[in-house]
Amino acid sequence: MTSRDFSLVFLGGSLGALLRYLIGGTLELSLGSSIAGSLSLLIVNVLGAMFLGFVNFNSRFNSESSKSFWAAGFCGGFTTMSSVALFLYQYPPLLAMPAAAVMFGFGFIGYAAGANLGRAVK
Amino acid sequence: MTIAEVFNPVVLIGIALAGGLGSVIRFAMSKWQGYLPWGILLANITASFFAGWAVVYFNGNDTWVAITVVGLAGGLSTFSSWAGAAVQMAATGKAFRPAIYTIFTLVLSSTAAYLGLLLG
Repeated sequence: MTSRDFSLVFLGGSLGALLRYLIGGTLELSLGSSIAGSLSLLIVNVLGAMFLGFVNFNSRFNSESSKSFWAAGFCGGFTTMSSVALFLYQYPPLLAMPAAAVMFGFGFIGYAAGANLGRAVK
Repeated sequence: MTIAEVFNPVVLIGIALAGGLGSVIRFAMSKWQGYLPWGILLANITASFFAGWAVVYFNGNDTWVAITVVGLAGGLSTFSSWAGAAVQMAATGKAFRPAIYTIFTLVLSSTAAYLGLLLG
């Protein structure tokens, strides 16, 4: 791990966190806070998992610098587990638990789909 | 939230800096690996505790809640790494490991968030 790796992770993480916040904020402005929180969480986590699968298996992202910026930085900063943990206490268990199960299921499938797409795209 | 609140430059810069810092800490922790990706698991648990604590501690101050919860805790924790590790474990044909990893992640992270909410 070099200082260059850390710098790239910092930049990618900043960009990912900012984009996650803007997606959540934009959804809240257009849909209201009751649905925006859970919907934005689902969108960023599934899209982020899918993109990480693509990055990990696409030849264009083979370099160490690309992995640091896009995988560890951007995808890590874009997705979040702490908000999922908080989400479980913000909504009634009968809604939160199935929603979390759906998110984990789609995240798993999304990563696998992204990986397949990454292998296919030259 | 209003448009001015969402696009508040202090919040945007704060989230970018805190998100980058959280990501760097997670990146350093991610090197601790074994039967499970222990470093990522610990990063998710720590971030969940911190997010729960910060939500209560900074209650009423939306700027600090956004910077600490969305920025720092969001950058420190990751969902995509869980997905990547779980799929790669499952691809080896051992269903037990991804199941254990998923249960550990979900149960320990949510318990940590609960403790953070209590102690905040």
